[in-house]
Parts: sequence; C-alpha cells; structure tokens
Amino acid sequence: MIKKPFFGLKKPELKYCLESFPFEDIPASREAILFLKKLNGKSEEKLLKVGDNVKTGQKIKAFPDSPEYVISPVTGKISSIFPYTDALGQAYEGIKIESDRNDDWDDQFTGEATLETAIDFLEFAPGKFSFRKFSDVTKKVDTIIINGMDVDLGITVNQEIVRTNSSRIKEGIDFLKKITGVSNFIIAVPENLSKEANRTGATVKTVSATFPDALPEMIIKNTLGKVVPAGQKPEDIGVAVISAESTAAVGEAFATGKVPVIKALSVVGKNGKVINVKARIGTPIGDILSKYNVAPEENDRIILGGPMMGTATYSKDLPIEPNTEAITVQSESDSAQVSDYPCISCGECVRICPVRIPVNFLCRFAEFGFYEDAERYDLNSCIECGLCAYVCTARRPLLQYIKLAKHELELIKLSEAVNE
Amino acid sequence: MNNDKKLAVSSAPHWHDGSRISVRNINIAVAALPALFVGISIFGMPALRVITLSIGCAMIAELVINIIARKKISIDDGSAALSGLLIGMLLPASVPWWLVVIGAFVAIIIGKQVFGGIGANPLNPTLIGFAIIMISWKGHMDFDEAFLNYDLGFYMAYPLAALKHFGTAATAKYNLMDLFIGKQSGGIGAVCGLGLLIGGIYLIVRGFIRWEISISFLVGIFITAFLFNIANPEKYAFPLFHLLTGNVMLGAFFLATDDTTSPVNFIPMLIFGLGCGIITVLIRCLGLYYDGVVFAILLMNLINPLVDKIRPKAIGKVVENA
Repeated sequence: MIKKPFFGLKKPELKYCLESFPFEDIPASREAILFLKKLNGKSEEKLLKVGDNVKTGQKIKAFPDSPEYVISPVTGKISSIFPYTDALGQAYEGIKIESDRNDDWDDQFTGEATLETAIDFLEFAPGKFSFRKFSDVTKKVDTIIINGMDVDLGITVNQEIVRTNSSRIKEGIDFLKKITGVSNFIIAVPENLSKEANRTGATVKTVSATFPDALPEMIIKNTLGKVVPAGQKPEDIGVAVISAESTAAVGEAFATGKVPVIKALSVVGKNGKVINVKARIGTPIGDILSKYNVAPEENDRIILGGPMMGTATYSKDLPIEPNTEAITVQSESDSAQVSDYPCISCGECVRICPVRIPVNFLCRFAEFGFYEDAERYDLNSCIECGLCAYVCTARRPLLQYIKLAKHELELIKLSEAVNE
Repeated sequence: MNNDKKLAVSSAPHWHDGSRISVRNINIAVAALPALFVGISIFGMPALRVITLSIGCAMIAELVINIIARKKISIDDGSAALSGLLIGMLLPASVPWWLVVIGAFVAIIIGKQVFGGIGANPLNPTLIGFAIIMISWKGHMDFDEAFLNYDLGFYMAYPLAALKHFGTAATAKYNLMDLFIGKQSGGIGAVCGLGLLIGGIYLIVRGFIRWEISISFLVGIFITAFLFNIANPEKYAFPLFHLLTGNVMLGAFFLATDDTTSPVNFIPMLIFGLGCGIITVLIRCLGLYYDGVVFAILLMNLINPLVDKIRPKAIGKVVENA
C-alpha cells in the first residue's frame, strides 16, 4: 500500500509497474472450473450432465436457447455442476471438469478466419474480448486500439506479451483486419516498449505510466482526443479497445487452428513480489498460490485483479477466468479498511478524479438511495478507477457506493422496461 | 466448507493512502501550537485555563450528545477537541469560566450536532459558538474591558477598537513588528501572526488545508483595505495593519479552511476566500463591530453550497438542450 507522501499538497501519483517479469508455466491442474453465465428467464433444460466427456478446446453450452458458452481448457469428464453467483448477483452454472491429463483437441473449431467463427469460439479466449460488438451494424467501429498496458497497478501481463510476443500480436492484427474490416489499428504502450510495439505494424502511441492512464476511456481520450459520452461504451463512438493478450490470442487461434486455453497473469505476493505465470483457464487459485508458497492468513485478501480495481474473493477454490489479469494477495495490515463515517467535504476525491466528478455529492446521494439524483451528479461518467476511495480522508467506500448506484439504476431501468 | 483460513472480502480499491480524519485534526491542532504558546506566554496561566476548559467542554458536549442520540461515540476523531481549541484561541484570557463552557457547548450542540454531526454542519461550529457568546455578552468579550487591569508591557488598547474610534492616527502607537510577533491585545491564539503563519504554511505543505482559501482570504483583505485606504487615508488604516490585527491570520489559516464549510473546487475556493476578506474589511470599516472575520466567514459559509456549484464539466457529460 502506498501511503500519502509527507508533503501532501501535490496530488498523489500511483505509477504502473513497468519492469519485465518473464512468464513461468504452471502445469495443468487435476481439475478445471468454468463459470457459464445464466440468462434470466431462460428455460431450465440443460444440455449437460455429470459424467459427460469433454475435449480440450471443446465448446460447452448448457442451455439450448442461450448464446453463452465456455471452452473446455482440458480433456476429461464433467465431475459436478453447481450454481454460482458472483459479487453483483449474476447467476452462473459452475462446471467442474476432472482432467485426465492428456490433451485431446476438439476439431469443431476450423480456424477459418471469419467474424462468425470468432463470435462462436473466441469469446472465452484469454482476455474475454467480445467480438459481438463488431457485428452491430448500427455502430460502425472504425478504430481498434490495442491496449499494451495493464489497466491496474502491479500487473505486467500485457506489457510482457508486447515485449516477448509482438509477432503473435502482428498476426492477431492481420486476422482482426480480415474479420472486422477495420483498417485503423493503434497500439498503446508505455514509452519503454515502443520499439517492440513498432514491430506489430500498428500505429504506436505511448501512454504515461501514471494510474489511471491505461484505462480504456483514458487511452481513447489521450490518444484519439475523443471522449466517450457518459453512460456509453467506446463502440458508440466507433472505437474498440482490445488487450494485447486478446489480440495475441486471436493470432494464435487462427494461425494454429486451436482455441487458446492458456491465460497469462501476474501473481503479486504479500511482499509485492511479482511473478508472471501462464496457467490454464479454470485452474483453481489455490493451486497457483501453493506453487509459489503464497499462503494467505486469516483476514488476508485474495484479489482477482489489481489493488485499485480488482475484486477480493472469498475462496481459494475459485478458478482463473479468461479475464483474470492477476492474483494479488494482501495482508490485513496492507488492506484498506472502510468506515461508515459521513463525508466531511475535504475535497480530496474531487481534486483527484480523472473525469472531474463531484464525488462528494454523488456519494452522499448514492449512500442514501437517491440514485436518480446521483445520476445527475455525473454517475455515468465514472470510469471506476477507485482513486476517490483511495484518498478518502473519512475512508468511505466511495467506489462501492458508485457501483451500487449504477447497479440499482440498471435494475430500475430493467423493471421499467418489463412493465411497459 | 473446509478448514481454510477465512479471507476478507471487500469492494475495490484495496489500497488507501493512510489519511484519516483524526490525523487531519491532530495536525491542525499541532499547527496551532506555536501561536498558542506565544499567547499563553503573553497572557499567562489564565489563558491556559481558558484553552483547556474549552477543549474539555467541547469534548464533553460531543460525548453527551452521542449518548443522548444513541450514536457511535465520535470524540476520538478529534473534531470536537479542535473546535474547542479554536474557540479558546478566539477568546480573551480574562473571560469567566462559565462563558467558556457556554461557548463550547453551543458550538458543538447548536453549531454541529443538531445538524447531524460531523460533515453535516452548514456553518463552522467554532464560529457559531464564538459569535453567539460575543453578541450575548458584549462586556466580557470586549478586549478593552477585558484587559482593563492588565499591563503586559505593550500598548494594551485593542488595535481595531482604537482604529474605529480614533482613525488612522491611532495606528501610529502600534509597531507592526510587535503586532506580528503577538504583542497586542486580542484573543489568546489570535495575537501572534507569526505563529499562525508558520502553522498555516505547515498545514498547506502537508495538504491539510487548501492554499487557495488562505491566500485569497489575505488577498481579499489586502485589496479591499487598500481601496478604503486610498479613498480616505485619515479614517481607514493601511492594508498591513488590517492583516496583522484581530482574527485575520487565525481566520485565514484555521477557520475559513474548515473542511465541511468551505468549497472544494478551485474557482469556488478563490471566491470563498476573497469574499471572506472583502466582507471582513467592509465590517471593519463600515460596520458596527470592530473585527468582522467571524461574521465574514459565517456569511460565506452560507453561500458555500451555492459557489461550489461552479465546477468543471465532468468528462463525457452530455449536456441536454445546450
């Protein structure tokens, strides 16, 4: 945890980690756990049952009328199916696969480079990039930004991929050009990687090493000069942001004809030591931590993601998901402890907010359930970087209030849509 | 489920920069110490009596309200103690004990707790407490009456009263350097401009108060006093005299900068500070009271929510009908 500097007149600056940490391979685990999103109101009819055999790279669907699917990272047998609910209340079907330690590749994926194939097979690839946004004819994407930076602090996954695997990224860009028809590619990297980024053939733009400049919205603003309007997504202004890892995964999939199942991630220990690893999707967190002798104590936190934007999880048995960028282990003394103190309007959050939200007012409304008022105070401009809660003198859980307000408003809108 | 260690679950972010309200308040109290030491060394033990009584009463008032309202005990955040300290610093050393008690209780209960406690008060609690006893017991709060029987080795007339009654001619009796180091009649913690300046710079450098408010407060006083002085040099004193007398330094660094009652955006902070400065001099030159700092800050506290609406547009904000 980085403390406030003694001379506190200047805003605190959080710097990204720019060092190089080579990838280490984690052997496949005995089991893999996958979470398949359940859509509300869909039939309960299941296409899966315990005991089914699956092959590596096989597409697994649970419900006939849902487009959601997962890709099996191992070959083996489904040993259990269980319900799972994430922190925001989204229901999932948990699928546990017992691996038989041999890789028998499934041959459904043909490697034919079309957008349909990408939507059909690569949505569960490392990075979990959704290709569906390219098929929306009303929103024409004309620029693709490849994020060679890691969004959160302490993570070096995408940087390491740009450093060591620029040829795969180049292949990925070529395939993306082919399947999307977009010709304008920009790669955003920190200064020290511009040489490697040049080899990918995309236009190189450098981003500063200060958090939160690697967030998609900030990259779009700093490199293109465009602003994503509040409440909209980058696609709405014709920009798609894809991580370097996802780009490399696209390249690998179409070049080798196999859906990539290996996820790169940073493991950040309690002492701040970073290890970059490559593990199969679905590997339980505990298996990776025990390999590096990182043992969380009582009341420690295991954070999926980085310290500013990650989610603290409750069990070591949960798996690596395709969008898990890092596992950060934090001891209790290093973790932020929130309080329910009222806001004292010191203004630290307002001054540090990268999108200039009046956080002090917004969070008062959000705290007491005035979500529509919160929306008037620029709730939807929030890019969820977490800096406001990082500097809060009263230690209020500001980002949590913001996320709560966004979530509740979404529910209100959903129920209004149903009632109409 | 199993014998695993229990993990803590929380929402992002998982880091914090380590700041907290109690640290903030303790630092502000520490920054007030240089001026306070000078005040106590000038006025002696009666001054220490006022300060300790006022801090104690403020904390007791907070505790009593906490218990009556069945709220979490909040005296450990230091804000009640700080309010008590600042009231003590505004008072003359000779003030009777019951006035200190009333001031501290009024400050905490009417100034802060009736609105819902810390963060909810629209007006600076310290100033509410002080203003109410100042208006209600004029005799005790008049520095010339208070120090009638004192002789501390310097000219004992309250500078602002002298200015009001005798015009600029009265200022000749004061040495500016003496005023700056605290050799003047006034509130216990308000007399030593040098000590307050040191404390204020410490707070600004540490980031506990905003330079925008303090500097614009002083600039507002300087400009307004300068204009009055040009218009009528016989009647209105020169700006430096205004800056070094009364509660100006205390107000600029410790009272106007109170978190809850001051704006948070850049331009509103400048407006707020300038407004405090201008109203202070207006009250001093045209008003009934000798010193206008307290009322100026209270008045500007009232428009704080309004000026704080002047803020930069959030990035990505869609303005309708524009």
